[in-house]
Amino acid sequence: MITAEGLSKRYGGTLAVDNVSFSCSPGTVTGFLGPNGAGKSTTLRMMTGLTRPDAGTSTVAGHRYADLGNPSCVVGSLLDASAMHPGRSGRSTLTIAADLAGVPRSEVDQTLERVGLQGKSADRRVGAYSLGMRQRLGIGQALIARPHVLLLDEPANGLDPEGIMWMRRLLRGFADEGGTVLLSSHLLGEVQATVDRLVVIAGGRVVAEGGLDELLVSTGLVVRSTDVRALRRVLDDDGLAYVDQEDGGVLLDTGEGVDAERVARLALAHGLLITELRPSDRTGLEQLFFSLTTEVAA
Amino acid sequence: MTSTLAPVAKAPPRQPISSGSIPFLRLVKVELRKSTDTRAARWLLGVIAAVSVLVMAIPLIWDSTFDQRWSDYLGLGSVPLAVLLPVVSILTMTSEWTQRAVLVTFTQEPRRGRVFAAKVIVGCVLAALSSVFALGASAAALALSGALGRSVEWDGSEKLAAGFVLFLILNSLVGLGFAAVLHNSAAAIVLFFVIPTVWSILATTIGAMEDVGRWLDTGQTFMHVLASEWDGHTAQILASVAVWIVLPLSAGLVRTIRREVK
Repeated sequence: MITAEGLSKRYGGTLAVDNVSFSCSPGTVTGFLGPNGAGKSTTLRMMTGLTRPDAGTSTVAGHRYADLGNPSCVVGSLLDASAMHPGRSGRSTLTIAADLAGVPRSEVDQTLERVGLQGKSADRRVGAYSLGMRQRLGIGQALIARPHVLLLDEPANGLDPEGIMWMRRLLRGFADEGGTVLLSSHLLGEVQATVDRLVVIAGGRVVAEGGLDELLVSTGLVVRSTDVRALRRVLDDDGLAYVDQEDGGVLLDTGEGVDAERVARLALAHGLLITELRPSDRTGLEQLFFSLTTEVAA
Repeated sequence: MTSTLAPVAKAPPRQPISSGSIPFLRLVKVELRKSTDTRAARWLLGVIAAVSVLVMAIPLIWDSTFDQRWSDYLGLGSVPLAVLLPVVSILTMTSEWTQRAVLVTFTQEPRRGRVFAAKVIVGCVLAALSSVFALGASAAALALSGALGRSVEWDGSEKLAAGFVLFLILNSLVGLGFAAVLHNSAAAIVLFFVIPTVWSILATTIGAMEDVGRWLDTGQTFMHVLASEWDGHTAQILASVAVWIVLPLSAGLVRTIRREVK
């Protein structure tokens, strides 16, 4: 169980994190989604005691992070896979984490195997690791003391497709055993297949939160006609909102009273030949996320 | 911490938290391992061991220009150690900040003051072990010199040996002070060599500063420690310890606890 309540952090004149609240329950994988610079890492650092919040509280398993006597037995975290000593081997890095947590050294080999760094790669220097291997080692550091909770900041960064599949299975298995997972990402596609729930953050605020199925409801109708100008005119006359698509079709906002039948009847009444009329592949969340990303980038 | 950080009232049913605090001795052991298990650290410690042995060859070979006394062997041995050991201590304190591995360390032990204390202890332990090694090397060199038929003088005492070890620990603590304040290996090493040296030059060349130097120039005060001349110098030694060790370590502790880890 993870909770954040009213977390805020200001840097100079900018409010990097603004009153962020959410919670994650055992047995779920929650995606913490937002464009770069949205406040994801700052929030995760506040939840792990690395950054002092200006306001708000967070707990892991019912305790403030600073009150956990030996946090790695309760919550495993991966905040930055590049923050490792390059002169140490993967095995040595995990041994230090295991010693500090007070778990037996036998866990080191088991964990290396679990994250796919067994054999020769375990004894190579971290400096010679690819980013994907560092992510695996970082996940190993998080798992070493068998915690119930995982906090992972952009764990899929640098992982190849096979690595992403592996992480997906690992996190799914972790949650299915009753664990709680919170992982951040700036790419919806990267986490879409992994998470059950999403907390979407932009400009330091939570802008959407909920189950994946409720957030990923399809919105909009794609309409295509042999005479796109006539189609636009008809839609305009009828007061329907739409956006032009690059390939010559239009994307119609669906809402009250706007559905495929209404569009088909309009076309029939005006003698328009419709060549395509279907629900959009794009989801409300994608649209929201896209608008947030462009807004922040602008 | 403000009261707003109190535990949330509607906390969920708690999972059993089986873990007690991390024992301090375990923290020290882990820090000791961290400062000795990388290739760079092993090289540095190896170089220090080699230099402490090699420097003993100087009075052994050019015996006519050196007094064959243990205290002279020790004095010679202290020079490279006073330069190199603080580097080991500095790296113990700074390398995790420079590599950003503090991110992992402080998530594993959020009470940063304990990690800080463990690092200071490890810096002192490494200085103590290396100086004891150098003591042994100097005794062996003098014995060898005697075995070669020279008349050697065992003028050493526990007091002299203790002064030697303490001098090198104090040197390392000065290094730890710079490291604690700066959190950066390169800056700490450079300033550790530059600031006390410049200060020492000023204190010995500018007449008006001579009085200050007698109290705060470690080039003078810590020499009393090395020579075990505490009588009449205790207050001066303690003043130097306060300014060059206690003050920067305290400031460094505050910075370590407050600094945001990114």
